[in-house]
Amino acid sequence: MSHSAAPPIRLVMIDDSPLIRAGLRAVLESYPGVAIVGEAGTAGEGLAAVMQHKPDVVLLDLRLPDRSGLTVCSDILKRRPDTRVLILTSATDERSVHEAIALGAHGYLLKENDGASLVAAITRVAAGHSVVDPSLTDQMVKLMKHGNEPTTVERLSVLSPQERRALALLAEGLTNKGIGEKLGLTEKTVKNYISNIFDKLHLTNRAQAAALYASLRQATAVDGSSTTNV
Amino acid sequence: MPPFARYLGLALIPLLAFLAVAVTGQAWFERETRRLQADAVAARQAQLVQALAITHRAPETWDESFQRDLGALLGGTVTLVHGSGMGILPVSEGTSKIMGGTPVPRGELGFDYPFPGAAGLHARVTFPAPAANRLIVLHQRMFAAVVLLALVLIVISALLPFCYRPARETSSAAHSSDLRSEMLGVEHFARMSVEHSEALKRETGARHQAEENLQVSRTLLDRSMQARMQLGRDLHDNICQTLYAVSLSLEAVRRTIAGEGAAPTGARLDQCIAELRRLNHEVRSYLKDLEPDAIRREPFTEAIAAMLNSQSQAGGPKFVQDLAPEATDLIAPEQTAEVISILREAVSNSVRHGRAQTITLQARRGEECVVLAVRDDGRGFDLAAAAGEGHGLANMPARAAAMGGSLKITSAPGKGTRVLLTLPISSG
Repeated sequence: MSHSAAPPIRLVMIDDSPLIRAGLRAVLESYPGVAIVGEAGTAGEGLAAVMQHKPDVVLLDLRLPDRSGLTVCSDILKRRPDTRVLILTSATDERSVHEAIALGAHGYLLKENDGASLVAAITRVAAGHSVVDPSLTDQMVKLMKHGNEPTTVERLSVLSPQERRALALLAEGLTNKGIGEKLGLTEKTVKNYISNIFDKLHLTNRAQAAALYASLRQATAVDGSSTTNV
Repeated sequence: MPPFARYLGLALIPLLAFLAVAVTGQAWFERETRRLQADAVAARQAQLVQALAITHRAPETWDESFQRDLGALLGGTVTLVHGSGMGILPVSEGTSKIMGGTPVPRGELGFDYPFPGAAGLHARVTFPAPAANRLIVLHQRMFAAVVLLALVLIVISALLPFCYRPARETSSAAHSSDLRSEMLGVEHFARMSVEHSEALKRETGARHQAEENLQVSRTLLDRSMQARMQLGRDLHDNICQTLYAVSLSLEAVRRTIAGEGAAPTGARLDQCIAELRRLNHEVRSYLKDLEPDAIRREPFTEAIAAMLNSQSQAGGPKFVQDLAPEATDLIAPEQTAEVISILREAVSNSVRHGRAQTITLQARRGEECVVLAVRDDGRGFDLAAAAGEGHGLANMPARAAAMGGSLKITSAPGKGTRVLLTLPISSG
């Protein structure tokens, strides 16, 4: 929905794949609301292009040959704070999303949507809104809830539910035998469980485990609405 | 010098001494005896001469009574004997001796007295040996006996040590061998304990080594998995990028085609774009399984739901979940990614090739294991024929084995397909 009177959104593309750039160009050129003013295949070239062309929006891939796209993002925002950065990537891992948002990116899109959605996103970002790919909503919610620090809950999420139960019983002070009785496992299996749990959580003794568990109880008590079943 | 010879040498000295004494003693005794006898003979002779001087009878005239009287006078026996006589007659010790025709009674001395002037005649005078003589003989005998005894004693005392020594040696040997065996026992025990503690140390060392090796193996496995995942990510990523680029290009083309005649072309292009996007979406979901955080944060049940969601299509088969909590509880987060990936492939196969109406996902707890099943009611396929077709059928069992589990595919034309994944319970 572009007004013909409004100037087109000036766009710089930074992506290491020429094929992608060609595709983007082909699609975006058919939309009059967007004007590609520059493109680059490396971080260095991209930064130079941004400084040179002073775009409104930058389409930024995270996987660049010379530097990570995230550092480019922070560089751009430092040098030209008015620029809107829209990350367009195939990387869906949590850490990248968290970091991108933390660094101030205005949007995070995955390379799987059609051109129309892309243009819509570019328009929204240019207008000052934030855009996050719909399939990343869960991650966003989690980010909002816990920030970027691995919480106790997250730490415990490396355990299977059975292991978590074993940990709970251990924190209560049961012996391996007692835990085995409660969970219907042999003492030997429990011993292996415990040693595995310690490895995963980087613990060295039962006292530490109990302390960790206690802090979890505290955290969930404060939280009140923990969705993890421990 | 051997001790026996030494002893014998030592014994020899008193032996010789005794012998010397014995010989000397015997000689003395002998001399004394002879002196005594000689004295006795001389005395009788003198008496006889005296008696003859007094009687003045010629020997031829002697008769029995006269001989008897003479004998009584001399304290012996007088006998007229023809012949020249034999001088002094030695004492006959044993049986009577017959000397010159006339017996000399036992234990008696005698002498023959020749008559002067009457050749061929002599008087044999015998008389009992003097008592002193007998005493001397007794002494002699006693002395000899004593010497003999002493001799015997010396010899015995010389030999005695040798009889005793082996015995003493045996007893002391026995005693020391007891001690020795005791000491050997202690030594043996000490050696055994040392050996045992060495063996224990070795065993502990070996166990530590094994644990270390296990740790190293785990790390290597982890690293190789990470490397594999990175590789997978890169591959998938490239594919995704290409798919995305191509779909964008096609979209661009699509937008240029307008007008009436373009409708079929446009429709076809739309189809292509849709297919590409779907493919991109599917490959991307595989990418999710290869995320650097190998340990998925979401519980297994949620991951299953997300996976099925990504596989679902409009007009496609219906998904049914039948997951027993006691089974899914056991699946560790580090297993989740790989398990989901394998199941995704199974489900994808069913969706793409199976022409099924319903795909059921089941999870059950087994004996020290978890069993996951993907069943479809589709058309099934010929396992043998499909094995070589690169449907990734060989890949799934290998991946299951790499996790320590196993995977079995059962199918027959018209009978649907079942993929059975068995997992060991982690922490075992």
